[in-house]
Amino acid sequence: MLSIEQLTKKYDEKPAVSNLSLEIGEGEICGFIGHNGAGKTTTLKACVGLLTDFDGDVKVLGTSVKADPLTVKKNIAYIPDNPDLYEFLSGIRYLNFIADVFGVSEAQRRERIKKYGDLFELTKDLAAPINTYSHGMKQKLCIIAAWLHAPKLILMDEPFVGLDPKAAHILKNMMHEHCENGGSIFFSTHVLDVAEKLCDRVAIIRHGELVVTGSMEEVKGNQSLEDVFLELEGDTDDD
Amino acid sequence: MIKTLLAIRFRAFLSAIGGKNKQGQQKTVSKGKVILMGVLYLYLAVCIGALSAMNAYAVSAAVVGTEIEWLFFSLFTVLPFFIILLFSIFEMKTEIFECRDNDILIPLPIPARAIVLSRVLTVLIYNYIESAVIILPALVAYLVAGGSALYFFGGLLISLFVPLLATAISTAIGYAVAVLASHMKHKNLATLLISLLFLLGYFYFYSQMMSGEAYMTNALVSVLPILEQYKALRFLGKSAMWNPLATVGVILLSVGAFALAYYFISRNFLRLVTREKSVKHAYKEKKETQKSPFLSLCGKEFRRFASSAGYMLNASMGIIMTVVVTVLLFSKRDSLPTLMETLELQSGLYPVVLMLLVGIGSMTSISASSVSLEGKNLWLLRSLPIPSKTVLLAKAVPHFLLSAPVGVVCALAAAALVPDVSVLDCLFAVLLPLSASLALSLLGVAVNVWLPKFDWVNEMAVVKRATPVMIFTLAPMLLTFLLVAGTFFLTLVGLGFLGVIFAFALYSGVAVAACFLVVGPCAAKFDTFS
Repeated sequence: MLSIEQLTKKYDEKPAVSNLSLEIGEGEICGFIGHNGAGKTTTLKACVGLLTDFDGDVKVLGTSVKADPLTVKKNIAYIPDNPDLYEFLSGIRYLNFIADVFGVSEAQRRERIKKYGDLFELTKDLAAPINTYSHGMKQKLCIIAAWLHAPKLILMDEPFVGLDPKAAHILKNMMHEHCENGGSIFFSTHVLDVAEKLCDRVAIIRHGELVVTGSMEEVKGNQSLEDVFLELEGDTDDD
Repeated sequence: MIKTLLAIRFRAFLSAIGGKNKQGQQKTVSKGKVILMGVLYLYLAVCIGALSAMNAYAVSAAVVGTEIEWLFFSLFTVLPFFIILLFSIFEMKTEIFECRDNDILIPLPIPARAIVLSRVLTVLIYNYIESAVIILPALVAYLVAGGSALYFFGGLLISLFVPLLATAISTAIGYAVAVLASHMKHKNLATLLISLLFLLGYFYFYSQMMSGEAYMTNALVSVLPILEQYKALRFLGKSAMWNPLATVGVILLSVGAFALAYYFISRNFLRLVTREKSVKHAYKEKKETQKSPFLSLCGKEFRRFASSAGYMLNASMGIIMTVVVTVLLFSKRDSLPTLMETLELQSGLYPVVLMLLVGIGSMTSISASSVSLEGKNLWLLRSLPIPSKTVLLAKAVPHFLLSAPVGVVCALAAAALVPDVSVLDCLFAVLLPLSASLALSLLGVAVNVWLPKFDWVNEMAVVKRATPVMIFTLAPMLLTFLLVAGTFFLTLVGLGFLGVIFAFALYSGVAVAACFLVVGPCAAKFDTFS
């Protein structure tokens, strides 16, 4: 589903991501873990076509994001770390805008907006302007918009930040359901417990380099993911 | 504290010149760009200053040494006063109450009065600059016309205080508009209407001052009885002439009003900024029509435009002025045959009028800030499966659809007022505004892609003071001057129509070139923004 091939991205000659390669298959949830500034957001932005001048390549369903970004973008959805949405639109207008862009039919959008709006208890607020929404409500709207066109791959940057426990639980269920239907999810998080319980695969990044990747069992063995992560952090610090 | 807060605000202004590099990081401002901006600002200052000096000289020549010498000082302090008042209402409203860094500054241990003072001072400094560009050349022209050096210094002194008064009033109006708007459902529309009413009031006042034959003959004495009705004008004029009561009165009034406005806003700042933004609208499911991505983008651009009264008024000034000038033309229609006779025109006046209307309309800058206004939402457009050229073309649509019809209607209305209009004139009354609107709407997008600014905290920074908007304020002024002057001279020899054909060819050529620019290099550059 997602293939990151030797991704390298530098800002003013300072490498943010170095030679990162990663594969995520169909039906997989992959957690992307690393300290602040490790290169998680840069990697996610490269995957969704928000960054263009990087070395290496990113392919979604075999299509290169460099060669054919529009085809890639049609198959994915992206939730950034901060839900900066069009504050001058109402929630429903924003969702319709996203649905129009992705060519979602009237019947499908009505059904999905109802389904996910009710799930997140946001339906009654959809007519209100987004500038009246709380951070959590914007995050919920962003999640509904991401699921609206039934993308094959969903990339999320810290998706649980700002969500209340109930909404976080709903999101986890939605992620499972998405993958059971053949979709894939690649998301960054600092909440290691969530990653441990939710992910099939995990990738740990430090200073722009992928230090470990594999299935959850392979990576953590008998330890907790937190122990593995802290161990790896300690190892590299010692280096 | 105040110094730091002021430095932050001016750094934001300077960053408007810098733009962003490919990684989306702030660029260091290059020397070339600083020189370009310097030249642009200087050009603007020279244009406005020269206009002010020419008018001031004409007025001075008529009033110096007479009993109505105060009239000179009245007119040339009232002019910047109104300009400040008109343009800083939105500035004050957005600068004080709607800045994006309110959420950052309010939780910090900074007194609200310091935040408010830093913002009021920022706008006041801009106001001083705008005021100086008008008043200083006028005062120099007054001296050249034989005015008193003593009164010259009096004028200088009063010019230091008038912006204080204007800023105080605009702050108070900005506060009132913010309070009113916070209670209204369609707050932007309400804000715009209040401001338009204010604008119309200003033009009414101005046209009253310059009404009747006096306008044509420039005989100030004949408008004196009208001006005399406004006692405050005489008081203001006398204040520059060292009349003790007037001078002290204007100074005390200005300082007092400024202090009062500042005190009042400081006291209410937190309450207003932290107020619940709006009443909740309960959503009722209704049928939604599926639109094409382009139409949906156009709809989004229109909503963006309608979401900010400041954006609407500042960026649509060309459209508003076109209507105002057409109305003025209508009110002066009886004088037009006399004017034609006086000027001994060999062909109809209409080509000059048409050029003037199109030139004024071209000061519209809606598209010139449309890319920068994406701000923090840029990730959305860049992550959606829409070609960049579609995104950019949609950004030109509101500019074109709002300016072209108004231009055509006003040009046709003018054709009905001006004598000796041919069928061909009427054809170009449609074609010229269309081609000009198309060219400028696309060019605005191209210039903004060339010089974007996404990290603004106050949208007025990109709507009013950013480089693309500066270019869009200055370039049409120069072009209009050249085209109107060229057409006027051609009209004198009976070939005015050639000017219109040339302008149409020019705007059409620019439209085609701008279109290629937008769908080609600009779209490619937009792909690199992040």
